[in-house]
Amino acid sequence: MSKNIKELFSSWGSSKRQPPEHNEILKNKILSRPPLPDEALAKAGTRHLPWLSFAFAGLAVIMLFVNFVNYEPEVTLLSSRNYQTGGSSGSKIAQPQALNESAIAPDYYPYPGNDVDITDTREFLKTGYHAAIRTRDISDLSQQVRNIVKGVDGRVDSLNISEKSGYISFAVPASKFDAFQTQIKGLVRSKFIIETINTQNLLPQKQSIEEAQETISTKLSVVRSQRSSLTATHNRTIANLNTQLASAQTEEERATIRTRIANENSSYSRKLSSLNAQISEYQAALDNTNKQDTKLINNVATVQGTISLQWISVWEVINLYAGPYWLPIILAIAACAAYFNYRRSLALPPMYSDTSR
Amino acid sequence: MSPDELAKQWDATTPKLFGYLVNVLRDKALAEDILQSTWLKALQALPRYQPRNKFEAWLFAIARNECKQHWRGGNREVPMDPEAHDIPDDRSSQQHDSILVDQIMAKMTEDDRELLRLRYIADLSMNEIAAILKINIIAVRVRVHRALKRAQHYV
Repeated sequence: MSKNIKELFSSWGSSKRQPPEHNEILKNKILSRPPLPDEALAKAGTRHLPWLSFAFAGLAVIMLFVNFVNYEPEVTLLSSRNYQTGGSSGSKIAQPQALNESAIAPDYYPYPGNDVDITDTREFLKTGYHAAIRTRDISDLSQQVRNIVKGVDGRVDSLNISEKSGYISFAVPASKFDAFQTQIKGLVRSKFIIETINTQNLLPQKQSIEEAQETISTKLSVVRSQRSSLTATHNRTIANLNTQLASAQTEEERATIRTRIANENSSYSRKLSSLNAQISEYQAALDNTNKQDTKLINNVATVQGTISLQWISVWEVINLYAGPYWLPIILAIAACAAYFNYRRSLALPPMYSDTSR
Repeated sequence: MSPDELAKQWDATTPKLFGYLVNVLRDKALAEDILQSTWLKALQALPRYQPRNKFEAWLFAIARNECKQHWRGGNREVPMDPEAHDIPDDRSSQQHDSILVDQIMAKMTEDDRELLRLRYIADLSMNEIAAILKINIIAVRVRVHRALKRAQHYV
């Protein structure tokens, strides 16, 4: 074949291009017709309006209005559950305003009281953690949370799981808290979790305990020293009286000395029991203070917290990603698309547009 | 559009349009009728014509719809009878080519035939064919290419 297929078709196409037999007559007949405003033309004059586009735009406006009226700041996540750390009273904690207004609460830090010595740079921070997680699968996520808690050597204190919600309270070592928090955050995307971390500065309590320990120890040593001094004095007095008794000439002198010895013993016993009582009291107070100190240190070394799980619907997922105005936006896009389609259809008169395909 | 411009458009477009219609309808008389109605409707709708679209493509779109309207009225495509209805071609080699292509076209699908008609008889660009068929220009290119490949196969 000498020609290629394109040339063959080009040649075929050009051979087919022929005017009709009565071309000139047809041309004159058709083109000389006055452009009468017939029915079709009249219809053409009244252009169709882009009703579909209007409908979408109207719906978009209505939805926008409805959303605007009904919109509440999103964080139904756990607005009502504000985690409160336990611990001793007395320190002042800066409470973020946001917590009370159902807004996402950022981390916040202790505000030291006026009585905290600035030169003491030790850290005694009690951390409380609360996370609100929204998920489509509560049981699976709760199992993962439990695994994470156990993985950082923590303990689950209580667990309450249902189909639509769950609540887990736990305690983990403060030394592993960062790892724990990272793992919890990795469970879901950031949009589905709200974390609240409360920290309470327990340094004033520590300082107070240390002060009490010091005072009690001082008093205890003073009383012990008084007791030793009393015993020594007593022993010396008794020895002196015994010497006098041995050298006494008359029975009357001896009777007097015996009376003095009895008085001395009686006085000594009274004073000794008083001092012993004081020593016991101070010792008990010191033990109690030491216990408080141990408790405080253990308290600081543990992070207690809760995790709330709430089921989330697909609708809410879309809301989280696209914001409250996604439906009006989609309707507005549909309105634009309908309008562009309408404009495109104007390129060919509607009556000639292809409807068969 | 002025009468002079319309006359020029007639001279430039009618041979292609008539050739296309004859090839589609296989009937010269019917093709003439459809040609007339196409032009009349185009003239009636002229106020709505947007100059950014090529007039020729617009006219072919109207013609295609006229054909469809005709078929919808119960008239089916008649079998090809080149001797009785097709345009005679006195140049022998071209006549041979023409008969060969007609035979190839007879073996092809209606979609392929329509594409090749619009491309080679109507002499429309890929863009214009895309606008008429309401498909993507890339799709038009691909389909024309494939239709030619199939035609090559039939040769």
